[in-house]
Amino acid sequence: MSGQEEPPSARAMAQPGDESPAQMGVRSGPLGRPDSDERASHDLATEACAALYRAYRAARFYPANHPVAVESLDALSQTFARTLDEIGSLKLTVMPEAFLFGDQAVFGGDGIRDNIAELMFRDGIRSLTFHRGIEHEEVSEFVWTLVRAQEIGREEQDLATILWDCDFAHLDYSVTDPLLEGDDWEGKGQVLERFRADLLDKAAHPEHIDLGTPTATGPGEAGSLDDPANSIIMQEFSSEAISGQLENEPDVLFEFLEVLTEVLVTGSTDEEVGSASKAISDVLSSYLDWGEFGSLTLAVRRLQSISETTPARSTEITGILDGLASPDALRKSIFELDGKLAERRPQLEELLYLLRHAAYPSLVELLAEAGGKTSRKCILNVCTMGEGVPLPLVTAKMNDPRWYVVRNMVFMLGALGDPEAGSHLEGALDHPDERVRREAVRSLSGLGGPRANYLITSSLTDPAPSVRILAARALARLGQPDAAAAILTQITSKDFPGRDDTEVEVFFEALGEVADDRALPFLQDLWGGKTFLRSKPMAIRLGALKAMGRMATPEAMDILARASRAGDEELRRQARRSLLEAERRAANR
Amino acid sequence: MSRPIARDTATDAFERRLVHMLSGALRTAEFHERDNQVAVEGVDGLYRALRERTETLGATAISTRNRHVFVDGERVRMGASDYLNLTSFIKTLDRWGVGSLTVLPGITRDELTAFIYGVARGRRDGDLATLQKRLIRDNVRSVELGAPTEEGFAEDPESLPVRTYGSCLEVMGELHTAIVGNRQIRTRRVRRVTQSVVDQMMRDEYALLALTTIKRFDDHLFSHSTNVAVLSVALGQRLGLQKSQLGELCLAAFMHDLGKIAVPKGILDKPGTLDDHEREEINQHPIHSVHILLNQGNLSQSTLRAIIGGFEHHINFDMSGYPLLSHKKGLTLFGRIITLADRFDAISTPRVYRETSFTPHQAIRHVIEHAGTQFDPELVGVFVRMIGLYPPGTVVGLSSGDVAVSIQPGQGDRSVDRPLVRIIKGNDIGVSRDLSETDDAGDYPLSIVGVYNPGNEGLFPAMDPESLRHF
Ligand SMILES: [Fe+2]
Ligand SMILES: [Fe+2]
Repeated sequence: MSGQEEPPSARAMAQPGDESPAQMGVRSGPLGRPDSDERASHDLATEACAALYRAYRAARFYPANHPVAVESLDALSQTFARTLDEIGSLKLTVMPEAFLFGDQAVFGGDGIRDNIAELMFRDGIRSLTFHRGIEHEEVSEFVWTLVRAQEIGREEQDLATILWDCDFAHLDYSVTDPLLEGDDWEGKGQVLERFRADLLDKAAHPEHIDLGTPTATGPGEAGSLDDPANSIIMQEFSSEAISGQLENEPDVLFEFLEVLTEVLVTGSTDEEVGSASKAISDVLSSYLDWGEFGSLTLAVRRLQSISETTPARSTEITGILDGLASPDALRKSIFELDGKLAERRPQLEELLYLLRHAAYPSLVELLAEAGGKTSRKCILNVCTMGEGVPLPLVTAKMNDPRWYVVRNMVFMLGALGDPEAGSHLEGALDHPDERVRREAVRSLSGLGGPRANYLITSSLTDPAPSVRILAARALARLGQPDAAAAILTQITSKDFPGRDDTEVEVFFEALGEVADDRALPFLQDLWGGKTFLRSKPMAIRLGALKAMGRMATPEAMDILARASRAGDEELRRQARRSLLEAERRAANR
Repeated sequence: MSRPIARDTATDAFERRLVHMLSGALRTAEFHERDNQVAVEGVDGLYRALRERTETLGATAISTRNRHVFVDGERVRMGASDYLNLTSFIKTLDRWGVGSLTVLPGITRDELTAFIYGVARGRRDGDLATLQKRLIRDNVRSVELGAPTEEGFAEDPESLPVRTYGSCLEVMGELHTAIVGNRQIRTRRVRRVTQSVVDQMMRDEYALLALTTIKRFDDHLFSHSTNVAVLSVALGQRLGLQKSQLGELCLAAFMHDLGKIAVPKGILDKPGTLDDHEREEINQHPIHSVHILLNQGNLSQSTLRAIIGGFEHHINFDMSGYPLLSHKKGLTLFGRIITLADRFDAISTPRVYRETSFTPHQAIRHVIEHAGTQFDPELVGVFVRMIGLYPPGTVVGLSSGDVAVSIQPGQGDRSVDRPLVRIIKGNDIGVSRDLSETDDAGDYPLSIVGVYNPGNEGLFPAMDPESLRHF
């Protein structure tokens, strides 16, 4: 990029109502026109401040990885590098609404939005010096620090305190004396006054002190290095080991939790116990929020064991765990399983199982909302582990007005595999939404048993083709001979030939799986297409041949053998295929 | 939070090694003579490295700014383990007011040796001009010194430690008023003063340590909290903690005893022994500290550390003490540091309920005797090397008949039991003497012969009255 060109990011990020500082008519300094060298430096400083401001604005409005934010930071780094190469270091005096370079204003003015000079001045920064060699990471961290300073709670931190933490190598700043600021409070200045008086009184007049008698010391006596008790002093230590200790400590939140649980147990007032409980809840929900399910599981185990050993605190602990297991608390973690947390499903399942007694209602609730595969799998795994979720929790939701809630409950009932669940699924077969009825058929086919089979068979007459297809497939898979008559009734019904090809095909396939020779007269009739008035549709005739191929009884094969000499090419081919299928099946029997 | 180290190229590693060798040579030179084997090897290594660099790349400038070291303007990246080495190097340069040194090509080994010894063996109160003169006298022509580029402080640097210390007292007063009035604590203000404690400590650890010897009867909590903050940061710095860690440590140490505000004053200051109920009240104060900080709303990482420190500060290294624990197994490093600092300050402070006050010398003896039971022995070792067996404020009788107050450990190799002192009674009032200095025969001209307990207050303020000029 050439030195004078505006970085593309500057144009890209311009927003309505957003003037660039260069256009804002920077106030000129009080000393009239600077000479040309000074003017060159002044221009460079102005340019650097404008780039800083642009990068700051971009960082405020765009996420860190957004091209506009990235480009304007790059541009700022380059501008700084160019400027500092030229003038060595850039010292800016921070005024309430402007930056001065020397005594010339290089940034600021009235009415500028998000004035960074104002932000700095407010927090006690009085000067900034950027030094040659400033690194891109420093530039970027500085800009993001400004953004953070705008967003943090000012009781806790301000720009001065967070800049301090950054420990920049190429950036100096000066801050007002903390003593000079701060609000008035009762007794302000008095402590300091007494301290001053004390100091001067004590230190300045040593001759007045009463020394008393000295205790003797000497070589070999206490206090000397020759005293073996002092060997500890000479032991060397490794600073690496010490800083390692700090890094290897369990994370600070976990230590904090340890302290809180101690306070919970030993706290003497209701207030203390209450604030510890609340803080524990806060920590636990942070863990949940961050997806730290492993640490959370440890913490929950600890609380549960304290609850057992210290019954006096079981109410508080139950309260904490209930809060943790509430739908609102769990929602984000569970649904993030369908996104970035997918691989943490086993850990979350372990945690939820630990919390299951408190969590079952939430899980049922969340299952109602669950859209993704992994989240549903997680909930179902937890709800079906061990003794499983109590049925009433699930069945209570069967009348929910939201179709997908009922659908998910139906799904759960199927997954629970409890034979009792069957009777609750019956109602679902009459649900106005066919998606619920489909799920009910699936669940019933999973459950099995005479009652389930009966109910599935009854779905062959469902008004929705998709449900009928599913029912037919389920019956085929289950190999229900009792269903043959019902399927046949459908196939021979007057409206059947008018149905969708897939349904026709599935019904014949199903019939083939479940029927015996009693169905052959009907099938022969159907494929042969002999009617008084007109021939059967081709789909029906082919379907009948397919069904017989699956039946694979000798009689069916006889019919197929005859059919394979049929006049119609398509029928002939299907008959041969079915015959082969029948032979294969017969051989496997 | 530590920032990621982005680059570690071969050249970077070379520069890093160069700074290490320079720092090592300077430290060795403090204690060993020029012909000592270790000293010779140290200078040899440094010489080779400097020759190699100056011959290929020309003059080499090593400078410091904002506690970072630069070689030819490029920052030398240091890991956590380099920190201590770096700190000592920066302090050495700071002591002379040196901001940069430039080594010119063609430097001789003799010049380098003279330079190292000229810098390392300097008097504490030297300045850049003195050092420059000395180097010219010693024929050092190939090293040029420069003043710091860092912005100076507007105020007189001498008075800064006192101002910082005073700000702490003031802010603790503000905290006290807020807590008693059930109002929100402004941790921002607490952070500002504790950060300036760390800044001061990095500049001059003994200036602030000297101020911890002003023990005060009234406002005891204020000065105690400040002292524990100062002592903790001093110890943390010796342990090689990084600046941001020191900031967190300082904040935690400063607020460790906030819970005492919830204990009735009658019990806190009661002369004589306490009954069971009163003892129980006192033992609750770490839990009160937790409670007070918990109610401050926002729980940042530094607040969490403060809460943990407050809770742990009366639990001993062997896990005895209070509050009684139900399951907690270990203590955090910050907890162990604050416990040690807290106990040392408490013992060396005169209190109404004690008939005889302890001297700092007795207090450090107590600490040593309880290493491994009450205190982490490793920390005790570092702590004693830092403040010596006659900690600042100890009033000692000298073999000359003078009485002096200990200021800090001396500079020589037996500095732990031979402090730097300032005479407060006798012939040379106000004069400082380093008891670890030997005469030409290798003997110590001055020794400690006794310890005083002035006015039964245990100690005497260690800071130089001169430093109060502008305060
Ligand atoms: Fe305490
Ligand atoms: Fe304390």
